[in-house]
Amino acid sequence: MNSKIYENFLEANEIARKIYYLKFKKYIGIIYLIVGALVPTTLAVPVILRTPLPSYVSAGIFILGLIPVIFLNTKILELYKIINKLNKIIYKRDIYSIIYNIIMKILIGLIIVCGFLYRIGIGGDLILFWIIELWLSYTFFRFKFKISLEDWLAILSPVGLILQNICPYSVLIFASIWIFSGVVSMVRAYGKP
Amino acid sequence: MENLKELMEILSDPIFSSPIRVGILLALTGIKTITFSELQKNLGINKSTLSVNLKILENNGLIEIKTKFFKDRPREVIVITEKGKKLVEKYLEAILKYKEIIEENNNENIK
Repeated sequence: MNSKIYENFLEANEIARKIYYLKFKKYIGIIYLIVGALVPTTLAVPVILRTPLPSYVSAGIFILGLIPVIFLNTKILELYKIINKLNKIIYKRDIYSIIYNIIMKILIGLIIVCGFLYRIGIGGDLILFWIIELWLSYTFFRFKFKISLEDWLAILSPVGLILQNICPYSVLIFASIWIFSGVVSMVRAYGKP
Repeated sequence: MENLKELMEILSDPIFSSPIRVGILLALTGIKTITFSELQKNLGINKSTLSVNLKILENNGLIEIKTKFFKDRPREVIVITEKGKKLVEKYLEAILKYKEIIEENNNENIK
């Protein structure tokens, strides 16, 4: 057996992964910027128009903003398909993936619990919080990419969403962090490798 | 994968002898297109080395190099072909099988 064949594959995998990572940073950077800008936009429009917006208009702005996010997620999923194949070749089912599966199940369970609480009239913000956490955890841990500081900040900042009943400005902190993470991710994607 | 001979035939293909070429094919399978300058920047190799490797891939019908205009400036865009995608699929299947065989051999040697 020629071990050079597998060594070549590992080297090629590193090359491809570097390119995937930069594309991924570009996609995730745009997502951070859009989501980060959505919150101030929905807050700023009524101030500019000098009239409170009906809730369905705010919801409409939010949904319109989510369309490019969904599109970019399909791009991320395409990347994931090939990375998953590479991961299956390189990594064995280790303790890391077992812990990952447990965390995912807990997060999905929490969304279901929050959905039930929302049905009985409490914890609406919690659903959004757990959905964002589930999506970010899934994205980062499944790819096995290096998680940078700006990504950790984006993962931790949705706490601001559940604190908005206590501190109304916490949602703006969440938005600012996501805009910051977006800018840093774009600089990494377009800057020098 | 039929047998070991077929497996080795795929993996011994000269296309796969260079990690740069395999890396380009793997990357294009995930991202579909990339410009020449982006590729050069990410790989950190000189223009001529990249051109030679791209020419080999193009001559084998695995990629297409198109010239597109961005703000009146020509840019070379590299796209993977259907043949290229299928070859990458076969290669990944082969390399998985190859790794399994190596691991089986190693386990037997330990026993």
